[in-house]
Amino acid sequence: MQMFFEIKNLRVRYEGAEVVKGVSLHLEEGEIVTLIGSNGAGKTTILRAVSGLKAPSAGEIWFEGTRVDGRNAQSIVKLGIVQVPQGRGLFPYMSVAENLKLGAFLRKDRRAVQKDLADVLVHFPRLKERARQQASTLSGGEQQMLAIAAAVMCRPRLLLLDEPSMGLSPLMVSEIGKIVREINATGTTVLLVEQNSRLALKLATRAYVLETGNIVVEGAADELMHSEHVRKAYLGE
Amino acid sequence: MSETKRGRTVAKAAAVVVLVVVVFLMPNILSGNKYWLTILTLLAINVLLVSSLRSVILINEISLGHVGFALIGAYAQALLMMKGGLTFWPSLILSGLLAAAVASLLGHPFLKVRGIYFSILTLLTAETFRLVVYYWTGLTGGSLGLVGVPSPEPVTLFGRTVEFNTVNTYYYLAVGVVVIALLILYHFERAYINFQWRAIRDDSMLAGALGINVVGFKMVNFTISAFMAGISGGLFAAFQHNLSPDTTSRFGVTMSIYLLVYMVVGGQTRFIGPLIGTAVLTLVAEATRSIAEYQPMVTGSIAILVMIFLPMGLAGIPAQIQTWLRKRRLRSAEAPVGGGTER
Repeated sequence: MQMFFEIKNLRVRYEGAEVVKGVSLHLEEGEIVTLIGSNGAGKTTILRAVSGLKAPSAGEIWFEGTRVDGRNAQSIVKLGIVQVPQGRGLFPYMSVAENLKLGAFLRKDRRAVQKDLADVLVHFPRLKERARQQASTLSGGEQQMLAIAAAVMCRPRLLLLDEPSMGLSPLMVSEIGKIVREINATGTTVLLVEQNSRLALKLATRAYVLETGNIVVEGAADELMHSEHVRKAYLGE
Repeated sequence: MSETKRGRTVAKAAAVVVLVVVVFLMPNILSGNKYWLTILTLLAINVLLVSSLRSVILINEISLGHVGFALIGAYAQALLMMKGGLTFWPSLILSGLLAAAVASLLGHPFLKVRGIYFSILTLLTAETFRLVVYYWTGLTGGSLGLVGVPSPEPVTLFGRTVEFNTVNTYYYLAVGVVVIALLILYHFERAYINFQWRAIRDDSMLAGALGINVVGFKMVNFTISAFMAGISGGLFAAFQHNLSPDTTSRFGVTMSIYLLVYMVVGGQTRFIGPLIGTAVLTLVAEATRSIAEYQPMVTGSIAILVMIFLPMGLAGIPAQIQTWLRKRRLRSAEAPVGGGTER
């Protein structure tokens, strides 16, 4: 059977140093899968390779029967893989509404975009209040919401989230968690990269644990939540 | 709220009307003073060149090569009229198009780099154009210059024949062309394409990741800008009647730097900036003509002072006063709440 999304034996180097050393993982349609690991394990690098921002040195990436590694970022977005970058990739001097419109830049169906814009603003009432404000004037949590909302405007099939909880208050973290679940419920598959392993394991159906460029553990999220290794290393128990 | 807005619109409209009337009556006001009309005509031509330079700012790049496109425009205008046998208007359009064509060819490799690298590339390219003209003696006259560029042919308007061989009439032609060109540039700044340009200016990597063709949109910007620089060159050629590719001419590196200074002093964030900056610094240059050797120092000092005290340039003064007033109002409103315990 054809896999929805699959990474086979991916290797990525930065100036000679191998950061990702042969990672394989897969996602089935409609799943939330999380990739957890500590600083420098190579999580963000994997996402950058998937979204075409960094060329892998070896390995294959497949999305719905199409090979996507080696393609440029634009064509990958066109296929339906959209990344919300770490540190909230936003246009700081453009308004909230403009940021959302830019998220849907590649979509040609203007009417549907308008409808989605209205829908998104219903889901994110805070953004609606601030629709005409410059993105740089939002709080950290609001900026993260905007980044996710802009990605949703693209109607992704696969959403890549890179540390959405970074730098947010605990209240905002659970808010973001709720939003991720809602997005998933509308049929978007989510690959969530997180350092906040507790949140990630709560949201996800399956999880991969990455250590220095290798997948060391994988399995159902609730199993991992109780595994000795994960509890010690990532949940601080 | 809306009343102050309406007031501002009325004030703006009034200012535009006054400006138009003054510009139109200028030859009468100066009672045909050739010296000042020449300066004003060159001022108009320079405003177009600086505005074209500023339009590249919209994609967050600084071009030091716009004198190169002006040079292409000027020599194209001159050669098309002198050797090509074309009349003024088709030559002017063609010289703009030629500059635009060169820019679109260079745009693809140039706009893949950013910041200082882009500036260096444009600077060196402009110098290359100048040296090509300098050494291509057969076509351009080289260092001896190209002499005898004809004036625009006369036109008959309402039964009256208007010649453009004096500065009195060429003034109107130059100002007319510059105003139309500025309106076109202004249109682009307000048009839908500005949405993409702003996204690229804010974060070109992210814009690319969202599917905006970054290099493509930058190229459109650069090409339009080079077209306008070419037009300004063409206007210059038919006005001065002779062209020279010397380092001290208006196609040398020094001029590139001056254009940049005009833009910064005027204020690069506003469309009106180049007009204000060029006008003020041209007038300062005229006022200090008696100490010609020290002129660069005067200009430089003004530029430094503006950068320190008016980071938004001369065009940003009203906005800066507003901010200052608002701050004062806030402070005076807060003071009684503080209970007077503050120092």
